[in-house]
Amino acid sequence: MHLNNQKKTKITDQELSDIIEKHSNKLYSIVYRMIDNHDDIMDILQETFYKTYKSIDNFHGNSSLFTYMVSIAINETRQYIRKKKKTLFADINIDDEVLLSSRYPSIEENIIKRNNAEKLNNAIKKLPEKYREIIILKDIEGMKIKEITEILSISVQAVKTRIHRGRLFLRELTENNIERM
Amino acid sequence: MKECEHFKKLLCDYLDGELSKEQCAEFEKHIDNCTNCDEIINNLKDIIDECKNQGTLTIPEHMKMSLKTYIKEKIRIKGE
Repeated sequence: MHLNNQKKTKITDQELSDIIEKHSNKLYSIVYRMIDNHDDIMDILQETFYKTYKSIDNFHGNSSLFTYMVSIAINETRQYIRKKKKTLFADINIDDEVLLSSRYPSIEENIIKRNNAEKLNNAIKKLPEKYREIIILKDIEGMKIKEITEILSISVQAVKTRIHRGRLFLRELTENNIERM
Repeated sequence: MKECEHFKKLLCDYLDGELSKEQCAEFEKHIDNCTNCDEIINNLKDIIDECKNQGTLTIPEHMKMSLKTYIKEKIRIKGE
C-alpha cells in the first residue's frame, strides 16, 4: 500500500482495520521468531501499529507502508531485547497446521519435517541478533534485498554480506544436517 | 584452494540467482569438480529450502481483534 504524498488527515477506523488485517500476519511472524513471550509480542505490535497510525500523515511513500512498518517492528523488538538485557529467543513450537502440507506426507516425511524444523529453529535461536533478523526477513519471510535495505537502513552490499555470513553461521549451527526431503 | 575462496564469496549470489549467465556457468563448472564447495552449496540449499518451508505464521484471531480494539481505544483516549 503506497500512500505517496497524499495529504490525508489521519485515517478512518475502517482504513486502520484494513491495515491491521493486511499486515498483522507478517509482522506477528517476524516478531514471534525474534522473541518468546506472547504478551511482549502484543506490546511490540501495538506500538508498531500505533506509531504507524501517528506518522501516517507524514508518510511520504519513499518505501512501501509495509517496509516502513517492519522497520518500526524491528526497532521495537531491538529495544525490547536491549531492555531485557538478555537474549530472548522464540522457542518456536510449530503447529501441525504449519508443518503438515495438504498432500498428507508419510509418517517418515513428517518426522523429517519436524526434525528439520526443530534443528533450524534451534539454530536460528542461537544466531546473533543481526543475522537472525536478516535470515528471518530474507529466507523465511522471503523479502527482497531492496526491501531489507529500507527496513534496516543499510546498503545492498551490507545486506548481502549479512545474508552470506548468516547462512554460513546457520550451516555451522545446524551441523550440516538438515535432511533433504 | 585459492579458487575455492573466490567461489565461496559468490555462494549467496549464486543461490539467490544474482550471477550473470557466464558467472553462473563458471561457478557450476567449479562445483562439479570440487566436492567441498558442492557440499557447502547443497547444505545451504537445504537450509534455505527449510527456511522457506517455515513460511509466514498466522496471528491468532484473538490477538488481531485485541490489536484493533487497543489501537482504536488509544486513539480515542488521546483524542487523535
